[in-house]
Amino acid sequence: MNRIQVPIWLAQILKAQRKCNIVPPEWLNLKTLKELYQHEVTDLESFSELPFNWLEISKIFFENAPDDLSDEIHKLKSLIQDLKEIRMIKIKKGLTLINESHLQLDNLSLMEINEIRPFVVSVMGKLTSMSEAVTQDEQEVEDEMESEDDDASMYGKE
Amino acid sequence: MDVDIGFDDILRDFERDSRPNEANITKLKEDDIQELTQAWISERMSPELLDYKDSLIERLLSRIREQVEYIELNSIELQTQEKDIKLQLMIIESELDRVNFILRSYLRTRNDEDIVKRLSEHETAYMEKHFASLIQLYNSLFLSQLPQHLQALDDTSGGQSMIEEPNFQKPVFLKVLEDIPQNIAIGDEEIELTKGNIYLIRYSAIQKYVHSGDVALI
Amino acid sequence: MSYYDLDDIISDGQVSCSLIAKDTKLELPIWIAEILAICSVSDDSSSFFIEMIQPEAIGSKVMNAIKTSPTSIDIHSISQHYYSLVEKWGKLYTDKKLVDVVQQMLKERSEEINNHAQSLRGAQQETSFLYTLDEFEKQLYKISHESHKNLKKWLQNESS
Repeated sequence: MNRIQVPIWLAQILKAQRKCNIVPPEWLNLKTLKELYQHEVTDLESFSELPFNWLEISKIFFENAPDDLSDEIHKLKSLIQDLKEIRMIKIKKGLTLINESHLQLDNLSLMEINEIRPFVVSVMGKLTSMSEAVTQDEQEVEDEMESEDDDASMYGKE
Repeated sequence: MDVDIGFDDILRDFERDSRPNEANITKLKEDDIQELTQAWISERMSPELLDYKDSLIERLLSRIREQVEYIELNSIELQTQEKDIKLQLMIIESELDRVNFILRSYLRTRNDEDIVKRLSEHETAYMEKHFASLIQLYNSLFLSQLPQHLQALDDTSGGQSMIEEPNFQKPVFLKVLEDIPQNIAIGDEEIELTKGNIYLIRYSAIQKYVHSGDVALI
Repeated sequence: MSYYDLDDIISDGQVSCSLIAKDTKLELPIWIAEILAICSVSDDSSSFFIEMIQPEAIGSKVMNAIKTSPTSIDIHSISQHYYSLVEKWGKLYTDKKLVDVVQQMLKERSEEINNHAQSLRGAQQETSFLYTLDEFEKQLYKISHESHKNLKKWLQNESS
């Protein structure tokens, strides 16, 4: 048995052909997932550092290589589900900070972003266009006032 | 992904790749796929058309041609009872499918946005042809029935432009790839972009960093 | 404003109260009122054809109701394109206060909309909230519901 690194799509093909076992990532076991969950519950201000594709990777293992996981699969699944739910609660808490300029969401994973993307993009877009509606005009007013100032000084010289 | 494999032929292929010189080439090829994937994602997420990845696409297309030729050559041998090559061909085909999918989606996404200066030669020709047939269709359908002064498709009078422009204020998700020394200002707020952080920000504020590659749209 | 956006065009037809110079009150759609309010009667005159009166939808009564309880106010019955109306009025009169109040409202209502879209709380008993949404908010509810549903489906699709 040799251990090498290949892209996950290739590992899936080899696995389906019974040519290999896939080695699970170091976080995909009960012990680490429990620790991560604990971190999510105790630190409400930030998200634990899961990989950007943790949901996709765990899904691939559950569906294509369940026998390569060292723990009972239904326990792993329910922990992943718990993790996702507690993180979604925190995401929603974070969304209340939304404003027309920006929102910071460090350590959010791709699927979690996809889940909220259409909604937050739409809300922030609307907040932005309302802000723009009143600031653009301020700019124009300033421009007009400046040009009036220019006129005044010209008359002053004469 | 780490895999434990017990399949000698494939292993030999990979070992060949791990010789120093070839390893570098493999790395470069991997980087190209990575770059294509990011270009595709950025293009899909950005409200405007981004620069066309000219040389990257050239390299990938020529490698795709090589692989297709390789498959064709070896499928003939397959008939003369070469069994081990079957899996190898299947792997190559899978990768071709993956790369072709992204490549096609990348090109199509670009064709949904229209800014001439960033288009490749083929894209410009396509756009002109597409636009010509669209005008012809509109004309035969209804435009010719309208009074002449209402027939224009590019009227910008009356404070109301018929030409749609990309909405640069649209918020986008981004990941910071390199620390940005200067804070960006939006209204009264100043935002520090730190490597690794994820933000939702209006496109106009970070446009130049998308172009420079210091941030990636996600 | 976008040339091809139907909602935008419809919201331009919203009624706003206007006052003709000779003291006659008249209700006009925004798109024409907007022009008449900035057109001089003649070249050498500084008076305009009309003077706009603030529509009730953005009057102090509604503003107070929004401030008191943003999630229980029935925006739909005030205007089906409330946010567009606010944006247009805000732009015409650079009304920053108005925009501030309505932005705050959107922040609070969108949170509630997202909760409903995920059916996190007793979905049935509180559906009345959904009838108070304006067109933009309805769209929000729809896209939010859709993406939560899609992710759930993706996660549960274990056999394929």
